[in-house]
Amino acid sequence: MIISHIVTPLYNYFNLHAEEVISSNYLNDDNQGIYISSLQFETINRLFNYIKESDFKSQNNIVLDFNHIEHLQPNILKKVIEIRELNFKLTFLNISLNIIESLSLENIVNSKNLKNVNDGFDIFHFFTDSTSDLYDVEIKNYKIFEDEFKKVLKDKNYVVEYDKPHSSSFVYLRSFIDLKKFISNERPFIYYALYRLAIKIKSKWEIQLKDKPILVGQSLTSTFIVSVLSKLLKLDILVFDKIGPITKLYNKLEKHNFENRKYIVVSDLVCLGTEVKITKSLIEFSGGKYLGSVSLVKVETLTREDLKKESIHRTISVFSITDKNNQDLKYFIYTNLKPLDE
Amino acid sequence: MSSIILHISDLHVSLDKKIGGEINNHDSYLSTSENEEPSILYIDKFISSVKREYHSSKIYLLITGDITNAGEVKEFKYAKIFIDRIIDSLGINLENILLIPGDHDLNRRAIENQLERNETSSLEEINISKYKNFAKFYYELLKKEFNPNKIIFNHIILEDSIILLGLNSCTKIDLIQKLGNIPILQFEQELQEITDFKSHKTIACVHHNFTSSHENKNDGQWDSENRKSFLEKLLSNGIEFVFTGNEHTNGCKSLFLGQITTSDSGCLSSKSWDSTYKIYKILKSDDIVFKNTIYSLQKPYGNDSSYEWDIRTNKIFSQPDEFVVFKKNPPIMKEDILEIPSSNHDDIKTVEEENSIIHTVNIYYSEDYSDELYEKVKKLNLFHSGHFHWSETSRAHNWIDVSKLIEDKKNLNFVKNAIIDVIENKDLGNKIDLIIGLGYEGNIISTKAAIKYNKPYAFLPYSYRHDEHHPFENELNFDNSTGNFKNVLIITDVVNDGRTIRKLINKRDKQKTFFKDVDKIYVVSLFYTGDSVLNNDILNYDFIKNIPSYDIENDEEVNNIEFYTVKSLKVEKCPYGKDFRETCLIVKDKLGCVNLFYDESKYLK
Repeated sequence: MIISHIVTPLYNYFNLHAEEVISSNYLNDDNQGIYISSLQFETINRLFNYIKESDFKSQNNIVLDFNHIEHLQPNILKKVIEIRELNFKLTFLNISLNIIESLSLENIVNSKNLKNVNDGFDIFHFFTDSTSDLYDVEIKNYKIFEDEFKKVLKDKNYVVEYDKPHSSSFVYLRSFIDLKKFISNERPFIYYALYRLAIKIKSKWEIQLKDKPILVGQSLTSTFIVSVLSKLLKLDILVFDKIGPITKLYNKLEKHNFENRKYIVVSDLVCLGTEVKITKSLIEFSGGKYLGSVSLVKVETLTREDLKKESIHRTISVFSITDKNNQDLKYFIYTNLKPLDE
Repeated sequence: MSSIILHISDLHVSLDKKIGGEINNHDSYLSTSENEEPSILYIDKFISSVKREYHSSKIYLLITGDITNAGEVKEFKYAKIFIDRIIDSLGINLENILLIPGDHDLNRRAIENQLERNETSSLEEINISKYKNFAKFYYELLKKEFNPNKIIFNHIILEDSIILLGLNSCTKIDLIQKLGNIPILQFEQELQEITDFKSHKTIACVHHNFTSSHENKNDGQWDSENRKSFLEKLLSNGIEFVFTGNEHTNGCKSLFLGQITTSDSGCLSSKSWDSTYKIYKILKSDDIVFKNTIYSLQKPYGNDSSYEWDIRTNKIFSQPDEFVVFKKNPPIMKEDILEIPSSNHDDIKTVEEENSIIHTVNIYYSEDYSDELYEKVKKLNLFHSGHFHWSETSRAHNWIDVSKLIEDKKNLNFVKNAIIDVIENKDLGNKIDLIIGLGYEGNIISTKAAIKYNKPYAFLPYSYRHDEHHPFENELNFDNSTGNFKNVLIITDVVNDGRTIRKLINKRDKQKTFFKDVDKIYVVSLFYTGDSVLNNDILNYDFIKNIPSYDIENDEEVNNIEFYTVKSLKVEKCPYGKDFRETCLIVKDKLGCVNLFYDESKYLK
């Protein structure tokens, strides 16, 4: 299984760290979560076999993302070259200084390959051609992922229109995003999405994660996400069963000792944040500390200027519905009040 | 004084460490561990269970092979300790013991060494080498020489009228041939040398099974061509009864319209399979009748005692209460079957085979997961008493708090791995087309299996809580109109009587359509909390409907479920009826914790 393969018009993208995490956590059982930083031969060999058996050979650019890889097992370069020998042109992303030598990058002379401030390469073309379609495009892993996520949401109709506008949160929701169906049907892409969410959480709370905050799930769909994140981030979990449409809590809170412990609330979708706020209140009322919330998808009803990055109410997600894409995705929220310009 | 035949088999005394020091993951309660206590405890429990009823009986001990697991010196050393203890404790005369070698008692490394010394070694030379360890053990235990090249290597006489004939079905076994075989000419010749043969009723005792109760094939573990000749030779010499081992199933079958009957005692000491032995009480008048009693190992995993031996009901396990070994008038078998004397009949099942398949015990057990899971239940105080409701009809006085168990990342990883171990152990990984995580906890413990096996995955709430979820959370989201999903695996935390599972499969329109073309539904749970003796068919409607006083009216007819659980841990159901709010004092007077896992207000309205 290869989870990070994304096809774009110009290239096929693979995230090697995501694949390594799958090898390490699921095919083997060494439980390093996303903290593993060494690329194993098994992983690149798995990728080689996948590429060899795939039918995208007419598209001859492959982008390998080395983000978060700090060490290569022996023989990795040999396998990378074998991929190249399948008649692909390889471009690497996010090469850290530590792996330049292992990949023998000094032997490739290409004026487009420019070192970054850390003496690594944000992008490195593993070929010497004077021209390439890739020289003129921006290749950023977050953009590749977001474009794919949006494409899947839209093309496969995961944004579903209600028969009549939904009104449970005192606003009208024209449609809902069926992330449960997305999780079931978009396999293995969903595992890559959850890997990216774990990486985002690590990046946001690098210091706080040392205190081992607890991941809180509060719906059936979010428990799936919590379960995977627990493995990737090596964190304990807590399930509030359940704060959803009926806002009824079955599990008694007193069973769990909240005192002086930190919590991250996990959702599939954060729209107006009502359920997150209920959960936050329950945690704080019980003596716990609310660290923030994460979700697969969030709806940005405020601008980023109005909801600052450091705000505790700002949810971390791998995909946002914003004013840039909500019309295209046919996702609308409105009230009974007249708009400002009427 | 009464006389009994104590029939045990397949002890598989196993090395606790492989040669080289690596831990040997074996399946036997009997091992070569320097800490002998667990093995001795097992032997002593067995001895006690025999003594309970037969402390003053004369005992003939029959062991039908596989005393050890690999024929290693150390295994035999410990086997001698264990069997000596049985002999001493039960006061068995050495002359009344018939001990038969099995294919696990020969040493395969010795065959390799012999062939390395001499590539053209004769079968006789190979037999001497492979049985060297066994022969030494045999002599030290019974003070008799064991001739590895004889077919009828020993016999004992019971009550002056019955001969138990010890046959070695492994003389042809080398590195390639592994099936049972009795060279017919040699057998006939050696039979003539038994002086009392013609005047006594003779019963053959052999390790290999030549018909199956567990495997769906006619030949058992016997060389197909040789089997026909052997059966013919038994019949022509008036040998109508055969005691066997090897299959690890306490089976009993009849061949040739009941002219030959076989009885296997089952495996004495398996951790993960059904452990059993048999006692045949000898009833002698004008007829010779063996009263057939099966003893099986029950595993309550209690604090004070992990397992106990108890008598099994013959009828349920398709076994006769008596074997008529000799009768003036020919015995009439209740369930005669027609023998089909050819080799490959995987798809042909006789009536008896059908019955024996239904009653074959097939459960999951792992010391690493089943026992460890129970340890966690104890350590974390997860087993609660009080009054717990999951719906108006689903109420119990105990509850296992799985949600607390899985809060800790290590425990969560442990239970995810336990589920995977069940899937591996029962070889489900390649069979399943879809995995469904059922309930919150079921969803949480399924994710690793879903990713590892890369199978389509869905999760559903329990059916009695569908109305509490957003409609999209109740959707299965897979279409089976093309019949692609033939085998579905449902993973959940706790299963009681399985009604919830059967309702999930049959009740809701959309899912009913989905499951219409599903051949097999595998259900794997962390805990089974129901009343039934564990087996893989106990969630099927046809099994449930026979449970006295079970409310079958509100159930669904589903019979294609195969069920495995990591740990069986019975909870007490609330014994009161619909009026439990008035009659159950725990609820009425709040005598203990009362916890609801559903919204009762919608029922009270």
